[in-house]
Amino acid sequence: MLVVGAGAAGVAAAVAAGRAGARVVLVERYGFLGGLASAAQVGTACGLYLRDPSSSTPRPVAGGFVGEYACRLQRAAGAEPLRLERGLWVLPFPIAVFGSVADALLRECGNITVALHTTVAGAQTEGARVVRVHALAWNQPLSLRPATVVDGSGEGTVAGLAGAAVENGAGDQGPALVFSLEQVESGLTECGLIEVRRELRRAVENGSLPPLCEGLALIPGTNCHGRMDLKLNLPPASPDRPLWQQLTCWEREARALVLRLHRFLVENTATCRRARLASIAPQIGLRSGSRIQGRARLEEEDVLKSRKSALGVARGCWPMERWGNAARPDMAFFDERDYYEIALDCLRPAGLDNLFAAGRCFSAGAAAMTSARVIGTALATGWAAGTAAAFQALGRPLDQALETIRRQMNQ
Amino acid sequence: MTPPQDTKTIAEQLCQFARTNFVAEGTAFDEHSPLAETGIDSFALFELLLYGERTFGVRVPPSHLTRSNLASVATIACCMAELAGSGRQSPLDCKPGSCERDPP
Repeated sequence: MLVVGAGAAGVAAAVAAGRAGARVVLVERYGFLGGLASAAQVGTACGLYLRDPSSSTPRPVAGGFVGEYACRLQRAAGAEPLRLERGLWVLPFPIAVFGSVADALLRECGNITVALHTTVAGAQTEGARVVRVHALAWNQPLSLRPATVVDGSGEGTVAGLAGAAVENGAGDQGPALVFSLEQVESGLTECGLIEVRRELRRAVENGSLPPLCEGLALIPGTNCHGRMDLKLNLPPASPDRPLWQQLTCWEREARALVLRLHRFLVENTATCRRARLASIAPQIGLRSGSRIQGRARLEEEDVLKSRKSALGVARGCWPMERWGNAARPDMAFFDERDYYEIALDCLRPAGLDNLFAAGRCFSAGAAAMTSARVIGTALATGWAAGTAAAFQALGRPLDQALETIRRQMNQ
Repeated sequence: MTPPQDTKTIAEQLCQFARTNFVAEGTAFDEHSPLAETGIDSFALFELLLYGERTFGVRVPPSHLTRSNLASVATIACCMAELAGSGRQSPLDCKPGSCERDPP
């Protein structure tokens, strides 16, 4: 079977399929694993633990692979889960560690072939089945004939190329560009960021910096040893512009703005007077993209009412967090210590029988995806899609896959 | 800009601003409530501080932006009153000189 995309969802899908006994090819367009967690330097994993304002220890949202990945990431990173406001828990991680944990898990399976620098460019169907996928592996054409496919591309790329209906969600949320500062004054906490915000507000008000600069936020858990990771939040994509044009514009303008911001902070804040710009993420962090139109669809009400499903194969526990034009996100919470379930049919495009979508491109409404897009939920949908696709490739009924996934979630 | 006011007045106005803009309806909130536990995130804290600075005509220097000074409305009000030179009028538990600052 074929898994496209080696982000959280794709890695989980490949490991699930490998452990279920399928022979797997995992293709990834970058030269490293981890998807946006690595390329956009996300820095914190959300959606791993239940929200609980009354507890001082985090409680995992589910057992099985999500819990396993969280434990391995925590061990490899030497990091502890961090409690934020409203009882939300996140797991901070150094960027390189996310990919190295993924690599170790893939190697342990023994039946997964990884193809890096490989971009999918076409898909052929016969009836309701994807029968061939064309890719460019570095500079060589690659033709694959998978029994089943998991689309973990984040954009529903294979589903779209195979002719399935895909919904464009690029304008649903604004992206962010992450950058790191070093030699920030010791002792900097959120309090230091207040000074930064105050100076930015003044600069925006007097016209010396554009309003966009007020969308600067600290990535939780990254402010230690004089280093901190900041994200510059950008406005959502315009629906009137092709996404490739919008992306190009964002990448160039946001990078130029980060250089300006760095100079401004050095010249105007005590906190950053000696700060060095250590890195800018290789890619802008997209929070929304294209999604398949599935046999079922996760809706806002399913999230806010913490709905469970008899066909539930993944759990989501992060609140709806929408990044629009404002400097901070709109948050909508559901009950504490609760979660919602994502049905297997949300991962199955209408009209294609042997393709499963995972991560940010499964079938969901725009509002629901502002919750389900996070790393923890991507791992969960990836695991479910990989298990289901492997069972199908091996000629086993999907009911068995469903039973297996649900048992693992409850472990 | 208004003239310096006493700590209690500053605290009352900051509380009112926080209640109107950030504190969820039904949440118990007064000047001693720990801000971190009442849904006031770093963005809201910044807006609260900026409101206080602009309303009471003070500027809290970076050395005073410490966790303990920003722990509650009462500690922010103490700090602002002290910076404005009116901390001694405080009926809150705010001793003169209690506003913490980082060592230079």
